[in-house]
Amino acid sequence: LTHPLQEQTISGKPLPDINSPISKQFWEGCKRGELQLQFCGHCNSYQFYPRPSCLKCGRRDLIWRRSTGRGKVYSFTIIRQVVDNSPEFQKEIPFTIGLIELEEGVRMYSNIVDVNPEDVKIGQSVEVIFQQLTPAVLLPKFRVLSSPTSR
Amino acid sequence: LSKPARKGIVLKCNNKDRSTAIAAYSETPVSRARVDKGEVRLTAEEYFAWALDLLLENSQLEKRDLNGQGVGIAGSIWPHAEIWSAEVLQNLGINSKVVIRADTGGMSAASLLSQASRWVKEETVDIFLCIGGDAPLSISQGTQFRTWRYETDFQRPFGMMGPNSEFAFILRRHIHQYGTTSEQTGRVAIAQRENASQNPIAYMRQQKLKIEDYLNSRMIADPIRLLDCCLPVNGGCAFLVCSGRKAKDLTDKPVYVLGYAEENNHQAQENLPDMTIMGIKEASRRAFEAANVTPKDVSFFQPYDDYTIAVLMQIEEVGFCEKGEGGKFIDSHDLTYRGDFPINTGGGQLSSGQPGMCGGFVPIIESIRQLRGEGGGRQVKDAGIGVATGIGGISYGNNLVHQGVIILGNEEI
Repeated sequence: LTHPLQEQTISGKPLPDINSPISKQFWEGCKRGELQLQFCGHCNSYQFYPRPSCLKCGRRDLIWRRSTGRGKVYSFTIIRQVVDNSPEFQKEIPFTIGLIELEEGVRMYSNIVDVNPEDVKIGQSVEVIFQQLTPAVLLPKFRVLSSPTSR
Repeated sequence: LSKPARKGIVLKCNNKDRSTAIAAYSETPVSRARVDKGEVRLTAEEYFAWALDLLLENSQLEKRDLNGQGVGIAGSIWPHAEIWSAEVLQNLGINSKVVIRADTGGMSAASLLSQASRWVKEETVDIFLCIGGDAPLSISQGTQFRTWRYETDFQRPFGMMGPNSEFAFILRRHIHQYGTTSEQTGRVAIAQRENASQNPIAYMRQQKLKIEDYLNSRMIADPIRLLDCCLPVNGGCAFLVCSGRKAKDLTDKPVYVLGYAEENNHQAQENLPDMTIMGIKEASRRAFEAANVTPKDVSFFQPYDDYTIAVLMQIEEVGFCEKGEGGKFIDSHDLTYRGDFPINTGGGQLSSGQPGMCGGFVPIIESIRQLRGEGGGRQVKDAGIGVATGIGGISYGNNLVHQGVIILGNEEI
């Protein structure tokens, strides 16, 4: 997992709270190279972002399941100016953020990497990769699947 | 005191015995705190004080008349105090029987107006002061904003830039699903800039805007351009809600509250919501029903305008055209104050400025001004009924969370 982003000093970037009891297992999954999603054992539905209870049935029977890590681009933006976020992002401009629709039927904001931002399209197939932000934090990011034969 | 509202019953707002009205309003000049250009640099607290001072000057009220009544307070970006009403009440020296605080972002002023109307209708208080002030441009550089968990943990680490990027996702989908063009969103920016030219306190009143300027303005969060975004300013606003009867004692130009409704967290249980659907359609339907009027009766529309696409989507959902037809509607109407479909007649937040968390007051104050016939160079002819909205709360992967619709008129219906 070598990527130019990793070369940068990342101390100035906002860090997620990886110890929050609600999402601790998500971040631990990232460290193992797994994309983990909350799943409600009561009504059998996935959800993202991690919540304290099921957004559909309100119960707290939530377990974690591994996502296939595959999905499609629902929408995206190309960030061309830093506003109200760390100036560290200035070094990466332009960069792409997608709202990724995972096969499990939930959506997730994340960067679409290793692609010219101008080539990103709605509906493109993507798959998760993990990039180190600090020794303790790996972020799930997405890479465009080049051929339409991908599952 | 009051009977609990029964489920499924529409609370009629236009009962003459129980009508509520706005008797006074104020809006301070705005500033971007450019002291080098001779602009003032004030704090949020000072804008609250200024808004109150102007309100007293504009009405027949003394400050002591506000004691023992209701006060509604909008939040401020800074200070970020969890307990803020206590400071505002003490700063202003107001004793009150009821105090409410709105934390619904851009819907805050609309929330305060509808809740104030209810307290007045219940006759708990005679008058209700709704006030807001904010100074985002006076905050020191580098101040960290603490927002909410889904933003700090699941948006900002990926470089999300708050509302600019959120609206970029929404606009991208609107373009994808309905073929909306940059020229169409651009027409919103241009019309509102023209309106601002007639508003002596609009920050951008002297900067004329052409479509080429809009199209050439730099991309911030592509496809959101600089000129799609509202302009942050410092400012403060206030209005006074009371019974229709009382309003006639206080002013010869009462503005009646004909209808109000909210829709919060539309598509709440959807993992895959349609991001182009706001849900304000639901609030709008309820507000029009309560007011017993239709979108055809409206003289002007003041939609909350943090972004041009927000205006376009509200034209669709508040009922002026079908969903997805907003672009075409904009192409075929003159949106200026003298046009056939006047919107944000003072320039709105895009061109007059967005005073932080007080931004939701801007469409309401401009509606009051128009319905009192005090629009000056931008007065809408024969203005009788107006609609203002407030939308707020950046979601995770959905449209905005809070959506409020207010219908005002200068006659009781």
